[in-house]
Amino acid sequence: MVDLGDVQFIDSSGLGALLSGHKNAIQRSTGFALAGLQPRVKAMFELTRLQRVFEIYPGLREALDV
Amino acid sequence: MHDVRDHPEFGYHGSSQTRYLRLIGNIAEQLARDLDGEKSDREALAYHLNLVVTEAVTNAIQYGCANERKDKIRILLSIENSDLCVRVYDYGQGFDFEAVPTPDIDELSERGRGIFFIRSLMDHVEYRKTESGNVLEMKKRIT
Repeated sequence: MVDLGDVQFIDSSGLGALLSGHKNAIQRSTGFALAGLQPRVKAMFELTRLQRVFEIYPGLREALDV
Repeated sequence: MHDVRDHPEFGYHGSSQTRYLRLIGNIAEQLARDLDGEKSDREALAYHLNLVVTEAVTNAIQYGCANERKDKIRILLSIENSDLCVRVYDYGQGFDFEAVPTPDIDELSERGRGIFFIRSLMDHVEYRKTESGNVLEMKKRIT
């Protein structure tokens, strides 16, 4: 679980690092999820359509309740 | 507040291996935030400006490594008429801007989204090779 609640800015390198984590998790058959995306950060996931790829939760609490 | 009669310029010229590059992104962000207009739009523009500057600089560092000036970079932010302009110069071999593909969502590559961001978020983007280096010119309408 990656808590992005305090992240105000993400660029293509940041997205790439998260994708790397996602792919790594798939290879190990384990979970990888993101939580607490700020609106402008979330907009970057949407622009690149990566919101379809990642498991995304509104906040850490919601993610841990699953 | 921005006055269209002014044509302010803000620049950086120096090593590409420096923490000051982060500062240029922040200046771009603040410049956008300081313009007249709807505040929420300006906040989005501020983010986008910081992002494209960051991406362009990353790109210039990656492709601008060919000669003795390889670690030098020049960044110019300006307001020209109704455009906010960002120009990032490097002195390397450059690259074929038009050939950079749109990222394939099914491929999930960790790389290749920087130019996509720049193309998506700016109104005019042009990459030119000149005698004194390469320049990536990006413009966003602000009126």
